[in-house]
Amino acid sequence: MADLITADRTRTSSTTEAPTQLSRTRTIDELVEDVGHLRNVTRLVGDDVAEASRQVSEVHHQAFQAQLNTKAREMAKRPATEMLDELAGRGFAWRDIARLVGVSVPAVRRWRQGESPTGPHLLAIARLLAFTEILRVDHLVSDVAGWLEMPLVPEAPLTGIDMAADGRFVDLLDLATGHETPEAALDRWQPGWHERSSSQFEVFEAADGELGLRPTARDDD
Amino acid sequence: MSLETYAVAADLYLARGQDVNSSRPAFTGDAFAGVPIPGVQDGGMAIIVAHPCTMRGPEARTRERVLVAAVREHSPIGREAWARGYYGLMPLPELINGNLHVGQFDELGKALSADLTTDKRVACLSEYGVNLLQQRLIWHLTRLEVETFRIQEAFAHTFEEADLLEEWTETLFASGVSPTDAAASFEAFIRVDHGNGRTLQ
Repeated sequence: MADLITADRTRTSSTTEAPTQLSRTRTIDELVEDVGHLRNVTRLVGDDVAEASRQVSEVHHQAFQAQLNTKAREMAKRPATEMLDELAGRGFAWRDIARLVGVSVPAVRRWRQGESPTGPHLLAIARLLAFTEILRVDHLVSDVAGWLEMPLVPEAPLTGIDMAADGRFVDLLDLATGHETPEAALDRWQPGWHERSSSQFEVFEAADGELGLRPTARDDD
Repeated sequence: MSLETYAVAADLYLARGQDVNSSRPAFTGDAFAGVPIPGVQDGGMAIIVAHPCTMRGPEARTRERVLVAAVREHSPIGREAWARGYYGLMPLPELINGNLHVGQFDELGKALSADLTTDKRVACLSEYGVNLLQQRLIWHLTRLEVETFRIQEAFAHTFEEADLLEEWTETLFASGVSPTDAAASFEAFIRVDHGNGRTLQ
C-alpha cells in the first residue's frame, strides 16, 4: 500500500508571511506506526502527570498536617477551659466536641469545670481548635461548625463532623480548598457509601408542625 | 432484614452512673431505677421509650405519665446477634457493673413521671443509642425497618434541644433557679415568635 494518505501540516506564524505549507506522502503503515507511537507518548506523559499530581497531593497533605500540628502545639499552651469555650463560641455542640476529641460528654463537662485533661487529650482539643482556625483564616469558612455539620453530599447522611471524628482533617482541608470533590473524598473514606445511604423513607413536616417519617414517594404515584 | 448494632458499648451511652448530669431533662432512652409500671412491675428498672415530642406538655413539663419499658438483667448476648434477632429487646450492654441489661418491649407501660426523678436515673443513651432504640421499637411494633440515619434526621433537633436545656438549666441552677422553672423559661425563650410564626424551636 502506498501513497494512500497525504498529510498536510500548517505552521502558524506571527509574521505577515504566508504560512509554510508542508506536504509529504506517507503510507498507511507509517501512519499507523507514527500515531501508535504518539499514543504511547501521550499515555506515558499522562501517567507522568498523574504520578506528579499524586506526589504533589501527598506533599500538600504532609504540609497541611505539619501546619495543623504546628498550630496545635502552639494552641496547646492555652488552658483547656479557654480552648473549649472558644470551640463552643464557634458553634460546636459539647457532644460534637466530645466526639471530635474522642472522649465522653461527661469528660468534657469535667474539663469545663476545671479538671485537667491528659496530655494527649489537651493536644486533641488544641488540634481541633487549630483545625477550625485554619479553615476560618486560610480558607474563609466563616461558620466552621455549620460547615462541618452539613451533609457532604445531599444524598448521604455523612457530615464533615463524621469525617473529622474519624481523624480525616486533611481530607476536609482538601474539600475546603476545592482540591477534592465530596464524592471522591467519600469514595476513599467510606467505599460503598452510596448504597448504604439509600432509604425507602423520607422526613417530612407533619400537620402538627413536628417532623415525621414516611415512605418515599414513588415516581409512579 | 438486618437491624443495626453497636460497635462498642460506649457508643450507646451519653452517660452512665455518676456521670449522668442531673440538669439534663428526662429524655427518650433514659434508664431509671425503682420505677413502678402499672400492670408490669412494682419497682425495678425502666427505660423511657416515648418519643420526645410526645412526652412533654406545655412549658416543657414532662407529662404526668410517660411510656417506658421494663429493664432486666440478661445473660450475655453477642454484639452481632442483635442485628438478626432478639427483636423484642433493646441491648443495654455494661449498663451496671459491666453486665448486660435489656429493655423489654413486651413489658411496656406508662410510668408516673414523678417516679422518673434525676436521683434515680442510672443512664442516658447517646444520640445513636436513642436512634437504635427507636429502630428496634419500630421494628418490634410494626415490622417496619427504618434506617437509624433517617430516624436521626427527624430526631436530631429534639436531642439538640435537650442539650441546650441541660446547659440552660445548669447555668440557671447555679444561680438558684429550680430545674422546673429553668425548663419553663427555656421553653418560653425558644418559642418566642420572631415573626410569621418562626421560632428558635
